[in-house]
Amino acid sequence: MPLTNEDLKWKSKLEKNFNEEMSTLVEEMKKRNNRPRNMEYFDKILVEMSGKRLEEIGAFKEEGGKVFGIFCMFVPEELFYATGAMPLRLFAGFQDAVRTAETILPRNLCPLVKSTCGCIMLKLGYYGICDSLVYPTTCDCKKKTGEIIVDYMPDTRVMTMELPHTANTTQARKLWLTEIELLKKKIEEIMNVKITKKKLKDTICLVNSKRRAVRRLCELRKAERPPISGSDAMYVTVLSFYDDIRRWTEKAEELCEELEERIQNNTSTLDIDAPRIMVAGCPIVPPNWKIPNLIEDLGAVITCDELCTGARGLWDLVETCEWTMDDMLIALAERYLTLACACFTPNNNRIERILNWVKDYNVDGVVYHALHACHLYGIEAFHVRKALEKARIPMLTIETDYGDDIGQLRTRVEAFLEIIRARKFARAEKFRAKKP
Amino acid sequence: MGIFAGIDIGSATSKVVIFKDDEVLSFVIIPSEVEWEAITKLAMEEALEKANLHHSNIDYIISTGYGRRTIDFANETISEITAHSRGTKWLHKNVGSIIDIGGQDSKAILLDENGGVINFAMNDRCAAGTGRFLEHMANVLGVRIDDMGDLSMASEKTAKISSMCTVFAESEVISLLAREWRKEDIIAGLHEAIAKRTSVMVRQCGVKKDVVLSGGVAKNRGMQKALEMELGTDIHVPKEPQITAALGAALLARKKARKA
Ligand code: SF4
Ligand code: SF4
Repeated sequence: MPLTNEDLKWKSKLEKNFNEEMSTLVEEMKKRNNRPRNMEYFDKILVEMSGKRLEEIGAFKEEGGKVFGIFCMFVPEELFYATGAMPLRLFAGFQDAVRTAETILPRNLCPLVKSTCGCIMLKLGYYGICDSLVYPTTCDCKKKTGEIIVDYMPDTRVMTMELPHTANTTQARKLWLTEIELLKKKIEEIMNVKITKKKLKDTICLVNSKRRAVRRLCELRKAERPPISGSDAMYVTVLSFYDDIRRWTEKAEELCEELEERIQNNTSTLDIDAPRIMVAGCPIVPPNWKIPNLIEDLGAVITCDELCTGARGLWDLVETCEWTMDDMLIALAERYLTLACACFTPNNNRIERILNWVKDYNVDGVVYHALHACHLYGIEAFHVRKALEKARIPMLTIETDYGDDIGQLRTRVEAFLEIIRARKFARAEKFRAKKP
Repeated sequence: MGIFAGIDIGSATSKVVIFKDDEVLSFVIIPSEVEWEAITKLAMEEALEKANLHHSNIDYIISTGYGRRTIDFANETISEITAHSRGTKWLHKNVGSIIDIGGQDSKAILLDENGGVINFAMNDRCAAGTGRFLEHMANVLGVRIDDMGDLSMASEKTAKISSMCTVFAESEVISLLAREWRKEDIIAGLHEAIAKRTSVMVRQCGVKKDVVLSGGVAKNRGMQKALEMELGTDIHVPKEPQITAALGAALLARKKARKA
């Protein structure tokens, strides 16, 4: 649908708000003291998302490059890079765009989908730049909104991928492998190139190196005094979806080097007694950064995140024994099926991983982030809580959207941290009492 | 030993408790106003006067409640959840679950044997099922809020209220009045509706005896009865149900001062 004059007016207003919100977020992040100096690069990327970075993508397109919007973590980036195309993950954390989408969508949808849809409706920033769009059949919100988005991207080729509901059966694996092979064919067609063994191998290595950087960053957060705040670390990770993959990986590795030095010199400002928190659940996308900032402003430290915009989404590598085409495609299919998104049933993998990470990262409590109307994560909270209860780890569920509910959230998080501190204190007392 | 103050700045009322050794010396409850800071200072002075003390006599002050950050004379702030659990545990040794219904929010807290918080739940953004809701309905019905409890006890047939949204519930009440329902029965219906909604939140955390009801709404006997019916258990109400959080803050102030 072409934009009317009214739409254009609204769009320019929103563009302004969007840039402002991004800048405000960066300003807020900058205010934190003693940040790693390599954060500067990542701040720049966020501010320039609708500036220089957009121009860069524009230039890429002018030279004949093609941009594929991907609607979810399940779409294998490797296949795009292997043809020289650029995948861009389309997700948004922008409240004004939610209101735009509410003019055509039911209110009771998750804000992430509404915001993304709103951005696409108005072709805001890089949301309007895609030549093709791939949306897999994950949650209902995504797949049905995907259908509508087609109307707003008439010149864009839209492809779906059928994701099975279970991840562990032979049929599911077969289906998913077929879908990946099909996608490969379609991309080859659009790009008019053949994905060779060599190309695919190279790009598997390329994307894996990005994931290795994420892992390295995660590992560093295990330290007794993490050298970086969780808010910063999550922000670095989420930016990997906007930035040029090679440049991002290089910069993330540089950051990790600095963090290693920090651990050695013990220059972390984080309080050694700070409650160590895991954030789990629905994706968290800038500029809506209220949850990580709130938790850490109240004196806790997020030592790990179980989000598909963070460690969960980027942890696993594509692992192949032989570099034959068949093996590589199977490895790709397997890797994406281990994403442990709540759209699978049963989803025990996710719970296992949460329990493992709680141990590995020495987590004192889990903040479960459930976006309004996200049934998948909202319902799965039940089993996560049960498993954590067994492990004697408290969990706080926060149901929220992109609106301003900081006041109420603050009371909840504060109370939660008080509970954790009280338990830590009681444990320490007991320990002291036992000592002769 | 020392003298300690707990301040609870809620959305409807602010409370101050002055505490010494092991007893409450004085307390004050005043309606919250826009000028939180000034009004809380006044309450503080009044409480000190009652106890024959001066500001300089106080060793440690902790504030809690929605407006806890708005005053600058507190040494520390603490969340309502911790404050309520401390205060209620002190008043009622056998407490297992706390239900607090205040002016603009309601909460449920589950405690362990030592009074530590196991779990808690709070209502979300709207004032449905809180003191404000009842106040509004009292206006619509033309009765005094303080009389609602007694009136509902005289109900013979509880009216059905299906909506908890203030605006929709108001039209339900008006149409019940038009159909010549007795006010007593309508009020009992409102209490039942709030109790149903609140009980979901309480069950989310777990119901454990003794169940203690606090907050301004706890003074309403009809509300207490409706919750007893809904949860199928006795509900205890402290003598001064509005000051439990302020008391908890004062108790924590004492603990802090002792440790220091
Ligand atoms: S949570 Fe699942 S469905 Fe949602 S974006 Fe992530 S991978 Fe996709
Ligand atoms: S947050 Fe939930 S509802 Fe929203 S896109 Fe992800 S899985 Fe779907």
